[in-house]
Amino acid sequence: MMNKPARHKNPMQQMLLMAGMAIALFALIRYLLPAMPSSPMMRDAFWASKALANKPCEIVYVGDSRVYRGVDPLAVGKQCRLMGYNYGYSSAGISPDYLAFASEALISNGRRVMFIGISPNEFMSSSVQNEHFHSVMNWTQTDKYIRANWYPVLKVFDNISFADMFKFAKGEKYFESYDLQTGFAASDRIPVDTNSALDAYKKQFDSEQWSEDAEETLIRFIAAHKESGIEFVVSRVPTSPSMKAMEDSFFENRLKNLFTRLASLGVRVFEYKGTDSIRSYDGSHLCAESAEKYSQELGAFLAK
Amino acid sequence: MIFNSIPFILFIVMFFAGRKLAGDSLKANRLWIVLMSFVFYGFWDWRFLFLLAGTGSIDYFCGKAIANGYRPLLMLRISVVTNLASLMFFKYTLWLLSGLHEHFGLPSVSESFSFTLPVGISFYTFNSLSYTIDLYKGKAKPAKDFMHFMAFISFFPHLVAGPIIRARDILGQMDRNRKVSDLEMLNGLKTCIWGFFQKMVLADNLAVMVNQQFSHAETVAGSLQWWLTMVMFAFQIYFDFNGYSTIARGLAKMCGIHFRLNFNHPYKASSFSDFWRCWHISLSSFFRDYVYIPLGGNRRGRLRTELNRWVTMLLSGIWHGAAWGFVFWGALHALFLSLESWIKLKSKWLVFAGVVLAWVFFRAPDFETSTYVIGQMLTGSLFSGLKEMLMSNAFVILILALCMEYLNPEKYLGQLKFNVYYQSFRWALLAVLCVLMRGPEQQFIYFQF
Repeated sequence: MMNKPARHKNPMQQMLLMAGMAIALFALIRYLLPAMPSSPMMRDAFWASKALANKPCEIVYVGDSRVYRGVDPLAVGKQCRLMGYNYGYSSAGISPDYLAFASEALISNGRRVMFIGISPNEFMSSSVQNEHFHSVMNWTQTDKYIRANWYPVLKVFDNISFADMFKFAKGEKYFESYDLQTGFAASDRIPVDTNSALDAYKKQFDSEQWSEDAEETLIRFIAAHKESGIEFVVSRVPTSPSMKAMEDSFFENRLKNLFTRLASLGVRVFEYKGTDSIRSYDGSHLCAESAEKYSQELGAFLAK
Repeated sequence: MIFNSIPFILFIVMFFAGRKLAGDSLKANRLWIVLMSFVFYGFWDWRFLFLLAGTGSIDYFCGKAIANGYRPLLMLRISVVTNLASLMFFKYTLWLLSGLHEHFGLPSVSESFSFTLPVGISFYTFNSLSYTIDLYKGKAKPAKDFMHFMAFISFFPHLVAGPIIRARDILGQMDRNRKVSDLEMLNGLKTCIWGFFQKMVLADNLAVMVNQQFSHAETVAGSLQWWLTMVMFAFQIYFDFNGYSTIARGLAKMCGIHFRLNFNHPYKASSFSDFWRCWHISLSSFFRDYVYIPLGGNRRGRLRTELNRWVTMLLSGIWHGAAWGFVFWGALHALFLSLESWIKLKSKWLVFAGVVLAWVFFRAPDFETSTYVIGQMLTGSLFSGLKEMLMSNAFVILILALCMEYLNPEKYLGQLKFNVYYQSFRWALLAVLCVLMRGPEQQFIYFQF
């Protein structure tokens, strides 16, 4: 008598066998794979939390990736006792909707501060479109809820790519620790390459223009909201010397003029004195340790 | 909700639990299918449930009238006009008005006059049209009742991105309530796993590189770099769409409904006409049966055949969206088909190269970018920018995709491939890879159509 091919035997048993093997395989592969320094699911949870954040704050931080990787609200708060949230987004630019979104998180009375990290990138024509900010805000409420609340629990199901495994094997690691409560992402990289971001920014500055509209948007926003009692603090978030030099070669006068205009509106300008000791892992963003120091100094400044 | 999402997992558990409760009752099962399909569709945008129900109701009653012999031609016309009017209104109005403003100076379209394209409208209107047209031609039997028809139209596996199903294929299957066997459930599950693998591992990972290249296309230079990008896109769109269709087939199988294959290894085609017999089969056969053949097909002389072919391919292009890129893509394929009918050259490589070149117009955001990319592909510096691409995750995925599409390693396994432990391991591994190697979530490409 001929045997039937095995696939026609006991489909239910085969389903159970498949399920059991899948669980075992998953556990084995997860055990064998190295723990990656950055979690894609936590990253999604981070952005979803930021989009859903609605706790009233005494201080909000706005700006691009140098802000969300460079300013730790907890470290600031320890110095000045202001409770805050970091609303920095990737490649964020100065646009009315973005500024309004962040300012709406401020409490309605008492001391209210809006910190704006200034970098030339925020005034570039592509950045003022705020693509990342809009793409996150356009996630459905369900998606935002699931990412913010379930992803931290489900991060065991994090995905990994061949490129990640290859880089890890070579000793390259990109650390990102996402704080969902404060909107701050402590970051670092091994090996450090203080020139890796330089080319990308230079290409951007070569091909795009400084947006005068964005500058006027910022001035108008500050002028209008100062009336309602919001205290504004601006700072050029520190970066590597080579990046600063490159940015100054394009925009030194623009930045000087901007800070002069802001100061004339009564905006407090925080100039960080520890630029000689800061460490940037890619030439643009502060490593976690330097971000803590900068945040502590900012907190001390705000406490005065 | 998309298939590869947590809400869908919860939805599908509820769906099958409900089917279990509905038991042997055909009416209860149909009602449950309609209810849950409406929940599925309403998750996208509840407002368009009214459109789905409205056009579906018109087609049901028109079909009833046709079947009863009451002014069948008028009823058919009402059905066709209603469906095409709603499709054209939502899909092409803004494009037409913008074009009229640009070329003829008519008043520009107010920003307030903008609306969301109902998800799946291009698919369910064609499903619905197949019902009334086939009824009129005597090729289909009428639906037993309104729920029977709505279950066909709204059946969630195919509702938002196809495949385009014919009433004559599905209504009969939905008219019997046979118990789905364990083997069918198993095969349906395996089909779903294969679909998820194509979408989540292959298509979504390829998309990362393709999107990166096109996000700043004008700064990307290099012939082989662009050829590689477009080959990646060719496989991205194939696995994205085939993945969705495969998941739809698997889900339908688990409900005891059989959908036809929508793709049959199109990139192995040795001619363009062969390609169109293997690519998006449900759409190409729809246009063949309801446009090309009624126009006369190839039975009215050479010139008329060419005209019919061009009309069909241009309509096929424009079906994909309100943009000249899609029209040009359709026109290019019409040109390839015409040339092929004259030259009679059969070459897999030539066909693949032609298809890849045509995809440029499909993917590029505008005509300027299309011409730039084509220019780079044909005349750009050969090796520029290639090294980074060859070291990318997407390249590894492309190699995996090519192996899966063109090689068949199982043929070397002999009887082992029938072993239950090997089979279980194979599908378990694919399922685990869907989770661990999934790419960043990308919307299914054909949702935009």
